[in-house]
Amino acid sequence: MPHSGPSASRGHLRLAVAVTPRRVDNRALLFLRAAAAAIAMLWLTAAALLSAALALAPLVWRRAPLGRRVRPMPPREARVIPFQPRRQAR
Amino acid sequence: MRIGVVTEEYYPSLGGIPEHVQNFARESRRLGHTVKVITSVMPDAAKGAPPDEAPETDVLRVGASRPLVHRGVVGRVTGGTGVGAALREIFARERFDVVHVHAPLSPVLPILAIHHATGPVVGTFHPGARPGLLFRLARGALQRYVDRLDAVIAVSRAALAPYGDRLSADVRMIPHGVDFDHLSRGRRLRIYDDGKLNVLWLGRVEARNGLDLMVGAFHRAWKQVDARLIVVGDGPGLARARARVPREIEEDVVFAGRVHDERPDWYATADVFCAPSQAPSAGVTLLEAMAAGNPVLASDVEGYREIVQHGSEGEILPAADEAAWARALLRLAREPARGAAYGERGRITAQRFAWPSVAREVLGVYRAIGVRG
Repeated sequence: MPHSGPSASRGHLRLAVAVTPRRVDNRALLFLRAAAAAIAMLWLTAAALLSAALALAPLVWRRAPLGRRVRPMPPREARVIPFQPRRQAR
Repeated sequence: MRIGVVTEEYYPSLGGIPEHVQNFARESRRLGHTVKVITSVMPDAAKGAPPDEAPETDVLRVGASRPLVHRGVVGRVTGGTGVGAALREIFARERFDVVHVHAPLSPVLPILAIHHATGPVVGTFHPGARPGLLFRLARGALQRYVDRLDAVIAVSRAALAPYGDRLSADVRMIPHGVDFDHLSRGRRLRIYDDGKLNVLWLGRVEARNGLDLMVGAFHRAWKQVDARLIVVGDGPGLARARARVPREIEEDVVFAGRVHDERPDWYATADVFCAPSQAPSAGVTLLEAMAAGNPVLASDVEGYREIVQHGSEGEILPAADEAAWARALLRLAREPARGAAYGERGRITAQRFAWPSVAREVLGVYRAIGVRG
């Protein structure tokens, strides 16, 4: 028999509950729901970006991290980048 | 050792990073370390989540986060004023020996944590969306934040792929772990044990995870074998995905929705696990399926190639070739012995990624940068 009712516990493992056979939803309704979800996500993203900008605003004044590495980084080696030979016009 | 793990993504939000953080914390505590997870309150994610039975004394929540979509990937950001000050206060109070930041270049908590931490800081990169214009504008500043990290870890090459050579760091590869014991204890759901080939897709319903391709491939295979597609997971694309399922296979496509602790039973119910990701991925679900003994079909993307060897634990297939995926499903339906052999080898491979050894590697990184305890 499929598991039903509240999920029983098996140690730290919760038993899965079989999905009840779903009624076939109206396609138009599903597409409408999808469009609503997309619009809601756009709105949430705009709000999230705005509040993230607020949270990060103090870093505009103090851009570098306050702490330092335990072992300072060795200075990066200078790399020699050879010039490409000029192309001759044909 | 007192370890502070900072992550923007944590339960009740589901995904690879929360799974990683929770398992690492549990394993480290088992070894006698103190681990506190620093994250945010997630009011929207908490709505659909089952009530948490475990007390959250080891989880410190700073501010509230909101979901956002960036290049088709759903992430989270904590917002509002005072987040930095709250983090500073936590660091001063808890006196961590090391602060471990996940997804270190993603706003807001990770960057603020690196900014305010005064002791050793370790960062772990996870695969995510390709950085956009903001990243290019702030590249110089972000490099300073990478330079601040005492050690940089990546869970796979897929985690570094989006940055290319635009950032420099010495990176150690430590893969995602898998809770092997938990995942190998699943029980098959009898209602789906009816002779049909159970094809499992599990993940967040967003474009990069390839559910559209999965449905298309399943539809082709379904015409020739008795099969059922089980879709486990939710996300902003769920309503759209349900609407796009062709009518003739509707009865054989099961949407199980959001699942967390019950994952082992769904893996145990599957005869084949499919990961048709369209973008680089760390392959957490692949590892989980392998631990559960499932043969796996995975797309040919960075990350998966590091875990699955074609013809050993499963098959690597072109990411966009629906017909190839359908053919692979038919092969596994008609040759169960092949699937069983893949599953057995997958189980052996997954053991290498068991959390006890992965957590020890991370703790080894802490010690290598001079953290004692």
